[in-house]
Amino acid sequence: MKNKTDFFCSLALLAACVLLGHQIWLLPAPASKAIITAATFPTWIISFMTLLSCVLLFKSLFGAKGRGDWPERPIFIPILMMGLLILAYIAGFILLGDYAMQNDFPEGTGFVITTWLFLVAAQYMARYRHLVRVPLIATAMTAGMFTVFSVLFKVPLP
Amino acid sequence: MFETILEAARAACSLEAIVANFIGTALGIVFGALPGLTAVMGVALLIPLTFGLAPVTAFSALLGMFCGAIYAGSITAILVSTPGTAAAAATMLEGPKFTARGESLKALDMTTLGSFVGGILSCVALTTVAPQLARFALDFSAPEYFSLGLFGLTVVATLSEGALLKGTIAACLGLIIAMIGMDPLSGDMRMTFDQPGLINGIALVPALVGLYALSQVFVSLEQVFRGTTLKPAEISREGLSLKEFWLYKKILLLSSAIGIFIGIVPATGAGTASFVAYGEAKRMSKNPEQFGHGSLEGLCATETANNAVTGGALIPLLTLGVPGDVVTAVMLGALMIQGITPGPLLFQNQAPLVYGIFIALFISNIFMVLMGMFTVRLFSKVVLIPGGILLPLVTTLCVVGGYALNNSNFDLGVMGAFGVLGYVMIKARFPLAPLLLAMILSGIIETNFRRALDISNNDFSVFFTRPICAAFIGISAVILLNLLRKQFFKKNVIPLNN
Repeated sequence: MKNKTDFFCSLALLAACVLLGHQIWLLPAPASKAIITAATFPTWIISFMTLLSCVLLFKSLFGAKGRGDWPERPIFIPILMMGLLILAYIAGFILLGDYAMQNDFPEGTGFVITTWLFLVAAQYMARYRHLVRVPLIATAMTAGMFTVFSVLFKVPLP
Repeated sequence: MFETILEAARAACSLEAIVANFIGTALGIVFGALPGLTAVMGVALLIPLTFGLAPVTAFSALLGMFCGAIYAGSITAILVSTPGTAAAAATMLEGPKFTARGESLKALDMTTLGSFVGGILSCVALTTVAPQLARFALDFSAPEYFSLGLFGLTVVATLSEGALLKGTIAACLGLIIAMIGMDPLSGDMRMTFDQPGLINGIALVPALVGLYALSQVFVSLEQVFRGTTLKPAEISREGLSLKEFWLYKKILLLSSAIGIFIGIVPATGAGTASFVAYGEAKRMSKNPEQFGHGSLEGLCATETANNAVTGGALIPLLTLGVPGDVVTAVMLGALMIQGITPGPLLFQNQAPLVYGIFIALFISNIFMVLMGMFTVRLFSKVVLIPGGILLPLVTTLCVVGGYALNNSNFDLGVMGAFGVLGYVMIKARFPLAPLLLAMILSGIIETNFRRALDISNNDFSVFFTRPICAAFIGISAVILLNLLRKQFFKKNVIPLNN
């Protein structure tokens, strides 16, 4: 294998083509006698993408050497951790927001709690670790965003 | 007509619109100046904030952000040898040399004034060309729109030169993603996997916030974890005199024309314009040997051209509904959210809005030059903001922005998924621009192709017998064949720049 990144990308693309192609295959037959139906364009594009993915797969196996632009492991691991933190933030935003709404907490409770916690944790993870400034900055940012979105622009935050 | 312009001026010069324009321009300069934050990211993050505003006010903020960010990318390119945006990549050829020899203010002044001239001339072009093009495009019907979309898609392929295979795959992915949801003509559910959230398709704004903002956060985190910090250079005292500036009037005009033209061509952008203008300026110069060693001529060309793109890129967006570059593709999303369908009919049905947008662009350029001339020392300090503070803030804006548009948890998931997709694509060297532009053009191509065949009773010759349609298809074929020839012979391959 000459290029692992391209190899796995082409496999992922081929898997996507199979899944999407199956979805298109499930479409009902058209009632009218139109040549071009709802399935035609997606079928063309998926077929073309399958062909291109095969070319990429072939190139990744027999073409020039390469590895993409992935960062080295000591850098990639903290990025992955940050990705997980963002995922936790999104999950917290949704779940805590729904809980706050169901229990008639004041509007924005879920947003304020999850955002503050995320900002503190994210600054710490991004190597900004001043004990006093971090919570202060998180408080100011959360308050600023709540004011802009909820008070000024009337977005119903969870 | 006079009443229309008066109404437009009233909307664009209202206190609300002026404040929005001012804040948009200031934020744009901050976004442009900070490496890692881009014009596209700024506009994408601003959309959820502006969708509740009146359309002209919302566009005042977005256009301010656009102009400010394109201009300010050069500030850090000149002062710390790091372009703030891709549009400022060409500035690196000359800008840092001025700082090295203690003439940074001269370069910054040239950047500000050149950007202003380019921006204003592009506004003039927008105001004069767009209504004529819209009048011409009134005769367009489904076959012409299909061929125009196809042309846009072909230009996307030229953006991927050097990574043609991956660029084409990204474009296919964009086309297919845009087809998810209810088919607009037959009502069939396509590729929804029985998920109710997918019935209306993938919402554009959360997708592009993820693709261009969240993914960029991950990329910028690499620099934070590497401990890379930027230190602002001292700004010199001696600036550029107007007499000196006037010496470059020919370059200003030529580069503006190049910027406007490249802006009009669908799917190109400021980065391309500044490199082309730089090349032309060098070719025409009496002192080409000075280029690359701190030439004001070269700097004038790049800075004028990249801001001249702003007005040019709005021409195809407003008249045909086809974005001129990636930022205007994002703005197309903003127009859609406001319930506005761009195209020739927009000039007939909502003329005050269109002229309001024109006036807002003029005002943005005025704010840009004022802020550039008087507060450049302040804005050059933004590089001091630690990434550890900035990136969590941008992430929070992505999350709230993804949610705020429809108050939808599903959109939040879409934003996150596209953020990861964008990061993987960047790292695996798949260009992002073809994906986004194909997502935009997909509807135009498919719907108009099917409508054209419906109208012509399934007669495919309709695409070749109509002159405009045939011309667009012919040009697309020539571009594609040329690309394939280059790819085959591996000549003049330029690495892709996202």
